[in-house]
Order: sequence, then structure tokens, then C-alpha cells
Amino acid sequence: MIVTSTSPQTTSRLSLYPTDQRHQPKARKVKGKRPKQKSTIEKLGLISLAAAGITMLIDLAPATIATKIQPTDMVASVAKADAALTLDRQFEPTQAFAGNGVTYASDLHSKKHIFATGNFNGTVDIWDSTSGKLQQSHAIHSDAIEDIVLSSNGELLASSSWDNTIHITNLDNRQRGYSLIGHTDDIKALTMSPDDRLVVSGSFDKSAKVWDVQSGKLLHTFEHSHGITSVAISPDGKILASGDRRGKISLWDLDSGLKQATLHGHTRTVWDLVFSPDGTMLLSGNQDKTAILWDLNTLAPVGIFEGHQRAVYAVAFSPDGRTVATGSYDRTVKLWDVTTQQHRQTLEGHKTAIWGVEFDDTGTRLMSSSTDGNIRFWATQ
Amino acid sequence: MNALSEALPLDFAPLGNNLGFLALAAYIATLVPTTVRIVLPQFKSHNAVRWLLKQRRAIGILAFVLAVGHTYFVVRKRNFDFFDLHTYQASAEGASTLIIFTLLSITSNDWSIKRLKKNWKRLHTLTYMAMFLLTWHVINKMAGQWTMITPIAATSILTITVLFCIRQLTEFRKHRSNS
Repeated sequence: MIVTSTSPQTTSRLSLYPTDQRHQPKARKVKGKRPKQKSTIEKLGLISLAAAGITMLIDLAPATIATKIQPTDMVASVAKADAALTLDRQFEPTQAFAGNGVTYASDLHSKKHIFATGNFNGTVDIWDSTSGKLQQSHAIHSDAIEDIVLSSNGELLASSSWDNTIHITNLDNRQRGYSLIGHTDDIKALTMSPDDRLVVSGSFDKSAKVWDVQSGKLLHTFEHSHGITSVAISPDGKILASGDRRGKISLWDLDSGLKQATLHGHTRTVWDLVFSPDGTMLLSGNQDKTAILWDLNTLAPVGIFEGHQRAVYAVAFSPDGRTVATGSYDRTVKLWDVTTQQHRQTLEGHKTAIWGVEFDDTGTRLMSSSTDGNIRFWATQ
Repeated sequence: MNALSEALPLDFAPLGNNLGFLALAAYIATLVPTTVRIVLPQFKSHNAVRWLLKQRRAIGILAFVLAVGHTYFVVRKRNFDFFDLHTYQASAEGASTLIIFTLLSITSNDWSIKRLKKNWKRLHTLTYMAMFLLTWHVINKMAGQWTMITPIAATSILTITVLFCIRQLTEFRKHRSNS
């Protein structure tokens, strides 16, 4: 309080408070009554904090359009008389190969006896699936590789990365290949058509793109309302299935580029999709710890595989279509009978999340890959 | 578009990257006043510099909020496993910076200044460590996948880091000549 004069007029001019309040021992109280003005930047900070909180809450809220699957929906319409045959097969661990670091992506080619791994550091490695010997290594991407796919003849390898590009590598002549550029966010999923003519990529930029492998031309773009995390092409090469991070699965006609149907059943990220070998069913692995089997004729779920403790990251059909394998964050691979939807076997051995499972062409050997960097093979006795 | 030959020179940045860029800009704004005071003393009385100095605490908290938003959107899409050491190794510099920002933000209040006394100043020198971590973060994470905002981000953080080094050198010389 500044007081330099006893004159009432002067005092009131120089003092912080009027004369009649000067002698009140209430300086603290009066001071306390004056609310501290928040600066514009402080207000902006508080507003952005509130906006960020609301955005995250909205983002984390489950999708409301999902259909609750009733147990009665799980019809045994796909049951076959010889289903019991699959129950006799028990898989045992046979080989374990140490890869090069964290692996999200793997693919097996039975005829060429090779498997490929895409690594966190952006390299692709090609291994001999019998000896586990490293055959080729290609430093391709500038960021982690999330998915790879080998062509049906084993000549080409497509890899997709968090650097927003897809790369096509020719494994036979070991040429560097070329990149397909067009996505603007992480590419989470990749698949190739059975005739090796098309490659389809699903990205967190909410689009799935169809590319011509030979020319590198972009043929179609399919849009989701959320980031796409999985894609699969039917065995006849006509239907594309794409799943997003909010549990929606869309079916598209690859020739016309039109949407055919939307499957509602999951509420969280669809991590993997695979068609049955006869193309009549679709299997989806989800963050909600389940895998759902869809009948593509009725577009309804016919089975739900529940048993994993955590998210299901990878799914695979055996070549005879009777067995399903699921790989999970809970570090296990589970085998299920398609007709009865009964759990058959749990394979344990990986130390961290399993991101890839795949049967070989005979269905007697199963490959699983994990972020612990190991590739494990399991075979029937 | 023939994707083989007509690659986009720079991609548009997704939301997570934009939030990271804004967080970086806010963080640099907190470093500007003290750096300018030593390195470019002719500008130290400039209104903009004085305003930044006055609002430094609020801008720092804003940087933290934006950094949290950036982390959220990146974690959401990058398969971040909180129980796997590998993912922390992959994002070591980002995670370390966020820890520093958190410490600085929760102690950016009068009560903490009174309570921590001299240690408060020591604690808040961590902001300079964040500068080097962020330089590494921007260059390492965006290598080979620059977006439209990456050149601005890289230039800004490198400039403020160089100015900081000049400031340290100036202060060191001044201290030596005094002693």
C-alpha cells in the first residue's frame, strides 16, 4: 500500500484503496476478494486441456452400432459329418528360430520352403523354413514393417510400413523393387490377390487402396470412417474384406469398387481377417479377445471363439477349412474346431504378443511369429 | 496416379503429428525469452519476448497438454505395449521427453516453487535436456517419411538448440572473464 500524502484526494489517487478503507486491517481479505485474472494463454491452455479430454473420451467410447451376438445365432449349419477327424490332430512344437528383433509381420511359403519376417527396424528377412538359415535381408523401409505378404509363386514380396509406403521386392532376382505411394498414415494391413495381380493395403488414414502389382497403378480407394487395421481378399479374388479400429467390417466388390455389405459384431479393433478356403466364411480377430466366424451368404455370425485372455491379433484357417488358429496378446496360439467352435488345443512358448499365425499347404505345420523376435513352428505328430 | 513415379514430395501430416508439432512450437516458445536475453540482447526488450516471458508457465503447460495429445494418437496406432520393454526402447526419447514435461508441468506452480526452493530451479533445468531429446526425436522418428510440417519442426528445434549452445558458451566466457 503506497501512501505519500494525508490529503484525502491525493491518498485516494496514490493508494490502491480509497481513504475510508485504508485503516481497515483487511488488506489480506480485500486482496483475497479480487479474483486473479487468467491470461488468454492460460484460458487457451485450460480449453485445450478440456478439448483433449473430451476428444479422448469420445475416441475411447465403444461403437454403438455393434450388434450383440446371441448364442442362438451360432448355428451349426456348417457342421460336417467328418468333423471329428480334425480333433485327432495335436500340434507339438518342432522348431523355434530367432529373428532379427521385434516382428509384427510374417508370411510362410510352403512350396519354396521359405518364410519372411518384417521387422521393427524396417528390414525384411527371408529364411529357410527347414533350417532356419537367413537367405536374404533387405533394408527397405525407414520405419517399422507392420505387414508382409508373399505372392503365390513366392517370387514377389510386398511389405507395408509405418513410413506410409508399400514396397514390392522381387526375391528371385533380388532387385530392390519399387514403392507404392499414396497413403498418408501408417499402413497397418496388406494382402495380395490369389492371381498375384493386385495388392491391397489398409491404412490408418481410413482408406484401403487397391494397386496393380505390375504397373503400380492405384485402381480403387475404399473409405472407412476410422483407421483400417485389417484386409483380406476372398479365394476367388472378387471380394475384399476390410476391418477398422472401431470393429466395423466392410465387404467390397473388387471389380466394381462398390460396397456390398457391412458386418457389425465387434466393438473394438479388428486386428486380422481371413477367408475360409472355400470362400463361404470370414474369420475376424479382435481386440475384444474374441474371433468371430461370419457366414458370407447370410452375412451373420455363425460362431464365436472365446477363450483368449487378451486381444486376438492373428487368425488363420487350415487348408481343409476345419481348423482355425488364433494368436493373441496373451502369448498363446489356440486351435479351434470350425464346426463345433470348440477349443481344441493351446500352444504356448512365445514370450510376448503373437502377431502372426499361418498353416502350411498341408495343414500339418503351423507357424507363429511374435514380437519377442521368435518364429515358432508346430506340427502334428 | 502412377504411384511408381509420381511420389508425393511431402505428405500431409496426420492429427497426431500435428499435435506433436504444436507441442514443439509451444515448448520452443518457452525457451525463446531466456535464450534471446543472452544471445540477442538487442531484442530482449521487444514486446513479443516480454510477452513470452510473462506467459512462459502457461505456454509450458500448454506444451505438455499438446504432447499428451500427440502421445495418445501415436500410441493408439503404433501397437504400443505398455508391458513390453521393446516398445519403450523404440520410443525412448519420446517417452523420456514426456516424463520431463510431466515433471515440469506438475511443479509449475507457486506452491512447488516455495516447497522445492533451490531444487525447483535444478529440476527445471531438465527443460534443456528435453531440447536435445526432442531434436533426436524429430530427426529419428521422421527420417525417411517427412511430412509438410517436418522441415519447419526440424529447423526450429535445431535453431533453438544451436542458440542455446551459443548462450552457454557466452555465459561460460563471461563467467571465466569475471573470475
